[in-house]
Amino acid sequence: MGKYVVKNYPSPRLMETIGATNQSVPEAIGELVANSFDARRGEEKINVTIDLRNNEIKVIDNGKGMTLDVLEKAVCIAEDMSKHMERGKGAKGHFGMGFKTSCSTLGKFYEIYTRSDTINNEYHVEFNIEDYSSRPTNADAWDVEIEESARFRKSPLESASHGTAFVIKKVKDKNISLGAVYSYLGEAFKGHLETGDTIKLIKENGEEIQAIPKVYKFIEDSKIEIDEEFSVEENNSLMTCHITGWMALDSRTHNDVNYGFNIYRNNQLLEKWNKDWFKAHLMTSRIIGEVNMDFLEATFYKQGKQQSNKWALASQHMEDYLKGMVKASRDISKKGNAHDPSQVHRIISNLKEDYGLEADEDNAKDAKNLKNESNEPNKKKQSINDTIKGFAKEKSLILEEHGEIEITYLEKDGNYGYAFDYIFNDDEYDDGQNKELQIIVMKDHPLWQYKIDMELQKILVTSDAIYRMLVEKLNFESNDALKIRNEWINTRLGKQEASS
Amino acid sequence: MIKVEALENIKNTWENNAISLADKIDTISSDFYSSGLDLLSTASFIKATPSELQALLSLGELDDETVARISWVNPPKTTWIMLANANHEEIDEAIRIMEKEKHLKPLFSDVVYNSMIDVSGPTQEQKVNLLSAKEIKKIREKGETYKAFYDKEIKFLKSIAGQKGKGKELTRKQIHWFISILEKLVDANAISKNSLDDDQELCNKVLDILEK
Repeated sequence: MGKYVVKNYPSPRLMETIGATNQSVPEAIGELVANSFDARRGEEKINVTIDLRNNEIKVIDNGKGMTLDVLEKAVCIAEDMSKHMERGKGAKGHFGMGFKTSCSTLGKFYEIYTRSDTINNEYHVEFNIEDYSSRPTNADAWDVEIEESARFRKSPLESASHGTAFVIKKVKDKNISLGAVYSYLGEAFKGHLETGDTIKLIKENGEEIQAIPKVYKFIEDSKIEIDEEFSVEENNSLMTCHITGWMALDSRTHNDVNYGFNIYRNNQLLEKWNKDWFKAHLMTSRIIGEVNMDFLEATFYKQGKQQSNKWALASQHMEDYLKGMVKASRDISKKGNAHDPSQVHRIISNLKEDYGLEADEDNAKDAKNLKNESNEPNKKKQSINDTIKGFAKEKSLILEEHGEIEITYLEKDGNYGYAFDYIFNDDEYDDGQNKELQIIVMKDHPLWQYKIDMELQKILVTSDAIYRMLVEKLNFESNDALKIRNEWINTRLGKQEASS
Repeated sequence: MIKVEALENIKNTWENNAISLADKIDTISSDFYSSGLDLLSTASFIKATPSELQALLSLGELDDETVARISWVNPPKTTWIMLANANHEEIDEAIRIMEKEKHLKPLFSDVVYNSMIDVSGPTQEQKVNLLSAKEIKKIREKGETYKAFYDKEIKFLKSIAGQKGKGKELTRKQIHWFISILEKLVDANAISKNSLDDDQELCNKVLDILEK
């Protein structure tokens, strides 16, 4: 019997497979931006430039840059960088996986240029993922070559005294949506952008765009600031965790996932639209907000939160805290309330009371005025398109004694207690005009909530109007009217035979 | 005024072809509202359909000057709903075209509607139906990129793109779902007035549909 030692080197293919995450392009770029914010020099503002021109992705920052020692550690997989470099308060990275994962997600070749603020030289390192995949598994397979120069000719850092640039080539997604990246960064780094850090995107044509913090739309005056704390026992001592942020009632309900809370950790979006603290339902789908939970741990690519005791206690606290908001969301989502300013005012007042805040009296006056406006009987519609939702000609009706009666079909908003009706015009108009039967369909009648084929609907409604017009306006006997109606249906369907 | 008296007045006015449309509107509206009559029974009493009476009452919501101009043209009943729900520009155009074409004996409701649409553009549903299969495909791809859609919405968009590709119009129900999907895209900033994705024309079309 004996012992056997196996040289357990991970396969170099790992460099490729770590790029097979479900990170989207914006999220992967966001990971590199997060690293930039971790490289802050003292209190200096961080300026990040993202250049997506020429089928490359460049992420360039003005952070402190990396010395040779730091870079040596940074290129290793799963090295905890906080052990090797001074990082500002609220640093996001811990796992040493971020940029490797993200760069491998974005492309098959990437380079790092970095210039530390403590030395004059610049360092350059490149990773050819395809090359890694073909390397044999042994200790040498993971070797990384770092170049040093006073200034690299192709360095995106140009004349900057310090900073880091990632350059991703052989980009996997050839049609990166700049808008999606812009939108994601504005949401993911909202806190940074609001406090003076900048993220600049460069379009294909060279135009530069500054990312701006995400703007939320919600019911006015429904915003509640969150400033909560709870205690958690850690390492035999009691620690206080703070939850800050805001919540509000969205102006509409959602049958999608876009509601709940955006959870931030150290100014970076950790989880989008979390709904763990209330029962997710259409009636509660107006609840939106942002919370900062800097005490949470993050997964290695900083999306999602790790389940922990702190998270469990935070959830327990928030469930209780949100009861007033849940009640308000349910109340305002009840039929008609959201469109009735006086109801909105009542609900908002109750909400404020639940959270110990005073209701805005100006808002009450506005609500009253709005109520009066909405009840104004003579309020004019802005355009025919607001009310008339469809108009078309139908197959005309030809009667022996009355000649041709043209038929039109008009769909209209509103509900006067009937689903469909007609208007018959046989008035004289100067030198005479065609007779016209106009079918009126009231679109807001409950009948039209049922699924029905449009053609079938038209035929049934029109044939009813034909029958009624013949009896009510042209004094036909019922059986004659029925016969004519049936003939019209057959003609409408393109059949030659008349009904018997 | 007691209801019976009001009903008699309304009936006499409704049947009187010697008075102007403006006077009809004024008298009937006044009697109807002041005596608290209801639409269905009043319409039945005067042997009109509820829609005919409602159309006339809704003309009464226009200002006096506009009613007078409409009355001068004396358009057929089948144009009343349109005129009552139009704005000033649309009414001006409708009156102009009715006066111009009256000797041609056109189908007036058709002429009036089309003249108004010429001024105000197509309806929301018509605009949705004007989107091509290619544009719907592009919308789906954008939604996927922005992670804005559920799987069932992606399937739906694939389905209606195929439908449009075969030249078939969308049903009202499909249009309503499609519009709610377009709203989601705007909420997700995938469709905006300053698109960064070289698709401003499509974004403008969608924003126009959503009247944003």
